[in-house]
Amino acid sequence: MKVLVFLSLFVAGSMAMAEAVPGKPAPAFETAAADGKTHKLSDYAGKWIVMEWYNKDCPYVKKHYGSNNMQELQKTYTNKGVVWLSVNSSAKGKEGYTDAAEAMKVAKDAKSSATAVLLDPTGVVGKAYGAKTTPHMFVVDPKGIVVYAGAIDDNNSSDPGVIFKSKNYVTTALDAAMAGKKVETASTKPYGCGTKYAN
Amino acid sequence: MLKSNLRTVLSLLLFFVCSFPVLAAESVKAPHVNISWLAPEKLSRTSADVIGIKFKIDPEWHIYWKNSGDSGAPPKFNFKNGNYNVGPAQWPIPKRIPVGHLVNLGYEGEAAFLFQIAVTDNSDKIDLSLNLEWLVCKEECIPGITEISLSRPLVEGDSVWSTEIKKQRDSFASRVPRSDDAPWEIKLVEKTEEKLVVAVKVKTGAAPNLFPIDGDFVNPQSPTVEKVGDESRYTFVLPSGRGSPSKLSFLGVRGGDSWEQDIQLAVEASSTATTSVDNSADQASLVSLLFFAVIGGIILNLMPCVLPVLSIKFLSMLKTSEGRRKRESLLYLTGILTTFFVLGAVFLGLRSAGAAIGWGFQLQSPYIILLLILLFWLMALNFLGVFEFGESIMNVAGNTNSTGSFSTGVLAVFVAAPCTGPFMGTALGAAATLPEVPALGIFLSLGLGLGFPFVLVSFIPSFYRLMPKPGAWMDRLKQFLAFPLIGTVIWLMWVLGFQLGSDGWLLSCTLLLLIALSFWLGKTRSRVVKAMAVVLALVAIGAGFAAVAKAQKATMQNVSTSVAPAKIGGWVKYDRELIDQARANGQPVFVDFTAAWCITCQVNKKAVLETEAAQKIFQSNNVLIMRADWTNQDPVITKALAEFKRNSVPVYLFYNKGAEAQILPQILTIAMIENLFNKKE
Repeated sequence: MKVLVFLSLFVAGSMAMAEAVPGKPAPAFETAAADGKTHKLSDYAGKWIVMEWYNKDCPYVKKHYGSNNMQELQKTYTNKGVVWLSVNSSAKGKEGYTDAAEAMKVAKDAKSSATAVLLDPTGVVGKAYGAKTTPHMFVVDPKGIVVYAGAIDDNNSSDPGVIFKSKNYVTTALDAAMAGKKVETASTKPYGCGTKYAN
Repeated sequence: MLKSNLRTVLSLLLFFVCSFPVLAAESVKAPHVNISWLAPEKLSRTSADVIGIKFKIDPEWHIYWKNSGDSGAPPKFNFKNGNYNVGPAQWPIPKRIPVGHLVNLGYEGEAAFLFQIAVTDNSDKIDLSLNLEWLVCKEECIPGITEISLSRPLVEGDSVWSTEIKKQRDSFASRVPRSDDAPWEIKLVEKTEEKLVVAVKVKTGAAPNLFPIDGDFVNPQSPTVEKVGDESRYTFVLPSGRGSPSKLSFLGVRGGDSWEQDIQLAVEASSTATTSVDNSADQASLVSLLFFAVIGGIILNLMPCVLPVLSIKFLSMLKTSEGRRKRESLLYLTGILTTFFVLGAVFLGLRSAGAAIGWGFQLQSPYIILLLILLFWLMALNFLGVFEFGESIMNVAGNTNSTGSFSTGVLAVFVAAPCTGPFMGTALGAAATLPEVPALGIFLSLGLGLGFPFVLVSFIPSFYRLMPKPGAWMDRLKQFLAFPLIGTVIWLMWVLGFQLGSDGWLLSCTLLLLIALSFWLGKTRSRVVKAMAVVLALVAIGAGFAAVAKAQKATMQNVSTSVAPAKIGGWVKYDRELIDQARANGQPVFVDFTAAWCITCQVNKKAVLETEAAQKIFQSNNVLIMRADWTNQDPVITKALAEFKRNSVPVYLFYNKGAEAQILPQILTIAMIENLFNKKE
């Protein structure tokens, strides 16, 4: 029992330490993606990056994909040269887990414009970033510094109908940061389904 | 036939459902939740009443409080306008629900959210309509949106309730935040980037469980709770980079009651009040600290590491004339005081330079240890008659010339330091926190205590007459005293072993062997061989210290293997977080601040702490037993000791369930350990 407490503390402690925090360098990662290639954070040095934690079966992800909101964002910003990475941290056997082929198909069916869909069934990338929910959004600047971490917008309803009247934190942060301005809201509480890490 | 029957039943059902739309919408069955009203049969038109919307949740599934925690979302209530006013949602007490690596705040089983309804006109019917949105989760989540309505006749006077429904409503009503004053005060202690510390001062009864209401600024995880004086301090983890609101609200829960309270953050964190109180207390008790320092010094004379040295000194004094005896005892005292003064000055100098050190720090250096090993070994060899220093050469402790007396004093201080007696610990701990002059006063008082009994014996004839007369027995005693000295050597080697690993044993034993060999070689008439012996001794000593330097470097790189393992016999390594965690979970904690060079510590360890009896007591009470090893410099442990105004080991801390730290005496007994758990509240 004592050992368990000790271990769980250790795990909790190490998780609390490793997080993507605005103003700090984004944690490095190297992971396989649905396209069959390996993607590293350093591959995108010099570029703006959006990381979007993704789980195709989560109602909150559906809120933003079903309404085409997420795809619009992806399209708008990848056209401006931003790298958009959808990250699936669902462990095998958990809700939203996909293998590479299925991930490709899902992305294609959803008309995703993400640069890549990273597959993180071990949760290593998700835990390094402290991704708590889907969608949990991170914006990283060309120097590799996190400029935004948190919710996609300010309305935690699962109703897609509220999107048009919500304030989108990611676009606000990206637009400000890319224009060389200070990001006013750099950290918010993410909302959505818990990321489905292995137990 | 069967098929057509089924169709008939279905269409009949459909008919019923369609013809009573109001009834159908008064309760909703959705995946994993059943939603219904807790409302009266007839609602009062004249006085406001409280109704509820109840969720019956499938086992293992949960819905959310207004702060949902790490994930999830609270239910949302939107009443349509009508002939009524609806008050704000009243949320019953939530609980922390761990989901994987996250913590959610919410409800399992049943939950009802309450609303005050006041009718605004004179009609005889109310048609209430609520847009309800919720999220129900196990690991995966299912959102729901529905419209649920309530139609009731209105009556003059009190509402008419069915007993069963009213009972349920009342039960939830008793679990929403109370509007009277909470039986505790809550205030801000400190807010940093990472954490928020709030203090709760309870008037009577137990400390509450706190839930942050604003999830944007405070993480939902259980805070660590610590008792400080008469208040409980809750440390919450803050999410990074969220900025700072002017106030934060918390729900304090005790038993079935809860209160919402705000904490103003504009107020600057201040610990000055408590500090100044402590200082004045220190000033007032400085005199008593000095007194205890003198007593502690006297007790040091009896410490196992000091006694042999002093005995030798004493033996040599027996042989001398009265005048010389007086002079030498004063020199001895001067030696002690000088050494304490120098050590005190070094100590304070290092302290002002910001180094985290503590008493016994001189024994945290392996060089000093090796030097002492060498010294005691030479003394032991000398006592055993392996060699005689001629009259002209100083016999470190036993000789009766002036330098000898002075250096005996120096030596006594050096070896006494690790055996901090029960009084010395407090005094030195205070010295560590006091300003320079009083701190030096403490050091000098200790020296006075250590030295003056000797002076007393030398100066007061009646005391001296009580001492045995010199004779042949003195030689026997001198030889015998070599053995405690060798014992001290073994102990010091063991300390060195802790510092340097098994290399410590090897190099110190080899050094002693070579020293013994060079003495044997020296017992010859040949000048050449004698010279060789001296060279051998010097080379051995030089090589010994060089080896220490090398071994120390090696252990630095490989600390985990040389320092005591993280866990032996249930003892875990000192970890402040672990203590806080255990205390928050109501687990008692015992902390043993120890060091290999601390004899009192070792005695307590072998005689009490590591006995089966003690282990059994710890186990049956589920105590987290923790060892803080101070054998080597460790700023973390030095800081922890300073918190309890100690700067030496041993220190034994005990945190009983929900109680503050209790410092146990420095000499432990099994009975004391038993008593810790016999006191039932």
